[in-house]
Amino acid sequence: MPYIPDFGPVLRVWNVLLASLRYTFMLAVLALSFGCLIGLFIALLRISRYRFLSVPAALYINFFRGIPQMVYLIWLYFGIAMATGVDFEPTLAAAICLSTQYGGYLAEIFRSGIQAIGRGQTEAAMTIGLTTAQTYRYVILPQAIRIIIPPVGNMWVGAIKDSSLVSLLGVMELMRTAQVQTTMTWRPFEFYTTVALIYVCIVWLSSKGVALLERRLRYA
Amino acid sequence: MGYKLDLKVVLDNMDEFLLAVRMTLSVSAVAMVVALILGLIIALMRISKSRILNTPAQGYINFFQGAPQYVLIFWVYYGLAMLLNVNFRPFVAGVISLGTQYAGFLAEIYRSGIQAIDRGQREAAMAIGLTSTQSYRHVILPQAIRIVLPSIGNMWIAMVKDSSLLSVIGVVEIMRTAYLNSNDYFRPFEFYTTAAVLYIILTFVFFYGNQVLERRLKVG
Repeated sequence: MPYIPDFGPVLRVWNVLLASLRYTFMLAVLALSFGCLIGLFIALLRISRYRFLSVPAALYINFFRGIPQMVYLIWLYFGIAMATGVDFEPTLAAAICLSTQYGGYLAEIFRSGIQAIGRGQTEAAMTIGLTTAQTYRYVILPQAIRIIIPPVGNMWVGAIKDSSLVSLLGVMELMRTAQVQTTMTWRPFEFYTTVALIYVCIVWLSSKGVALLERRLRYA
Repeated sequence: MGYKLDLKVVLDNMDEFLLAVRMTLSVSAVAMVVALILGLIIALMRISKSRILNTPAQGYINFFQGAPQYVLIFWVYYGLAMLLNVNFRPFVAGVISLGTQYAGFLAEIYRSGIQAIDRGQREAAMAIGLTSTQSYRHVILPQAIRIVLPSIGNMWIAMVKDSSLLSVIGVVEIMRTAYLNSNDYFRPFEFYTTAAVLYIILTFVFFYGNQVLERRLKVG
């Protein structure tokens, strides 16, 4: 007997699914904004001349490049919690996990952006008497930002997708909500198809937005 | 109260972790083969002039770039299984979900590689009387492969990391082994740290290998 898909159960809880997107977006925004702060900090350490600053930064970056997100998430939520005796709230653990991880990814993006700015710019800024901090603040970073906006846009897309993983901790974002609904209605095909399509739509719209921004920046 | 680290329990179960590494590598390898073949077909469809071929290929790429791997795994293992009325073995479901998604990623990589080959190559091939298939087989693809090999290497690293997600459907790879053991011994910190270290070693080895490959290709 062939299986007859029935999207009725999905439509009945449509508003619940959409409401859960709040968490998905919140996590992605947190991941990206704290990730940017952490990433900028790590990137500046990474390009420092002092080895005691650049080596730990490189380790941080390589650690997050090497560890799968799921392993890191579970390690943080269960392992670190056990070892330190801290009981993380799931949403907090998810936010910490995503932002530290994206901090590592973004650090490399920032570094490449900063290093893409010619040495002449730094030298010229120094010549007219700017301090190192001023050079970064007024000369290098404003130019670097243009270069790094497109890859940061891709990171946003990644953060939206990666936020689905925190359903493992029970954070009621889109994926978790679908899982809960699935157990109640036993319609995995319909729910997971819908969820996949919602993610595809968000990612598609986001990539369109990034492409638009990229074109703007090129002309500006 | 300080937490007492117990590394003996990890060492006692090291043989299980070695089997797990083998499972991680074999599920990734099988999925990679699927992705390499399927990805090439989709890339060729994507660059075809016929809309009947390139529109579905574009749709495929967009879908799999947007759907999170975690959602796909559930979709295949529970949703697709129900729709087709089959019972997937976890390994098979893992290969399908990883393979189809990476086929989408690889299709874009292949396409950029093929399009990087100068038009003159194709025209020259046609001029000496090769058919379209022959010019792909003997002229374009061999050159394109060299260009895309490092990117394929990066995909392989990402695949090994993503295979950790398959632990949720019961593929006994590194993450699943860490999970099962930490339940048995109630030592999440030790076992998840082990998993993290194993993944970092694996990705480091492949990352380094990929760099060697990249240097070789550049010289040759």
